[in-house]
Amino acid sequence: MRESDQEHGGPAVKAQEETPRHVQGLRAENERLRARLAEVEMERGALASRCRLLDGALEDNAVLRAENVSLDAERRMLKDKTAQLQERIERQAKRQIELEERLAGFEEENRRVAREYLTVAQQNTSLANLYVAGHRLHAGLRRGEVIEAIKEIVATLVGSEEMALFERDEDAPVLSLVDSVGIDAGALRRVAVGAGIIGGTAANGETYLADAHDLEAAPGEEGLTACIPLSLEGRVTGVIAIFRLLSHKPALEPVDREIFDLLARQASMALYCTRLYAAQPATPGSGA
Amino acid sequence: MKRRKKILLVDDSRTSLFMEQMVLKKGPYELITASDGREGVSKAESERPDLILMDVIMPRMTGFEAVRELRARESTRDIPVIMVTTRGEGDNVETGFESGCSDYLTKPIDAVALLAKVRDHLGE
Repeated sequence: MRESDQEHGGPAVKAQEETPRHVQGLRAENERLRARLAEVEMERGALASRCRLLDGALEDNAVLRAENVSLDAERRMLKDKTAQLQERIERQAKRQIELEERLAGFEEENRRVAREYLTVAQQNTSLANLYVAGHRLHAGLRRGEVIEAIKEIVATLVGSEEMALFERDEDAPVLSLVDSVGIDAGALRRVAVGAGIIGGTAANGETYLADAHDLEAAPGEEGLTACIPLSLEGRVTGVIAIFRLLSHKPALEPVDREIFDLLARQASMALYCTRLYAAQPATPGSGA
Repeated sequence: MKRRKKILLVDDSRTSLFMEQMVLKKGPYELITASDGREGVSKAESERPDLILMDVIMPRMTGFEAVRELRARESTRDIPVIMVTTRGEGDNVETGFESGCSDYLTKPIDAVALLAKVRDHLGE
């Protein structure tokens, strides 16, 4: 022990002197600790708050997870359904293409049948025309009836109201006008065989068609559409000259040529029969 | 049994009448004929046909006159009349419609067109 310490009471005095400072230090420390405690308390409160938030978030997360699972299941179901619908759409599209192809086939078939129907109907009309023409030519035995039938056939079945009928003279190469309709026949009363289109038809025995030949018309032959030689046993006995067609008939049709062929073969026969009939002695009830 | 529809054919041309008969006899029709307008009017009154096919140029009474006569009579005014003629010009068609015809058909007769118009006017 130092001397001064002994003089002034020693360590007890020293302790007494240091105690306030020490207390002050302790107090300061205490304050610091209090402050720290307050901070820690605050931090704890904040952490507790964050914990609560985290708990809430975890709960939300759990709910979301559950929803996600549910949505995932729904998504898978919708995906399957979409795939099924897609497959169905593809099947339907395929079926539609098949149906459209079948429809196109039916439409084509329909058009073909319609075309065939038209062809058959035209053939029927042609046959009916020929039947009517043949029937009318041979329906009567009187000359007037046959001539009337020829004029009606040309007007009603061919479609011309301008025509002339000639017969070849027995004793000269000349055609004589028998009857005419709708034309000025002054220049055509007698036509030499070989002269002009009408005489030429009588000479060569071939049907003249204006749309197929380009011959110069003699006086009175203007507007000729067709000239038909009437043949019997290989000999031309007359000619039918057809001039302008009816205004609504633009041109000759295939059936007209068939009627011309029929007239060429059968009109002369019908006219010949009228001569035979007229030459017969009248018998009771015959009307000749 | 269903009554067959009656059609009156009026034409002075035997060829035309024969042709019309050829086309129409295949159908379920009863066909009557007359050879001029006057006879046509008379038969229309007595037979009361469902349809009349009428030529235009005929002796004694033309088709136009016959149609006017038919339209003037109570018993025949509603019978449809199709004019069948060689005269297809606009003036003639107009005269035909003015006289009261229901439709028009030109000669040479086209079987398909004739049947179509007949069926149309008979509501078939």
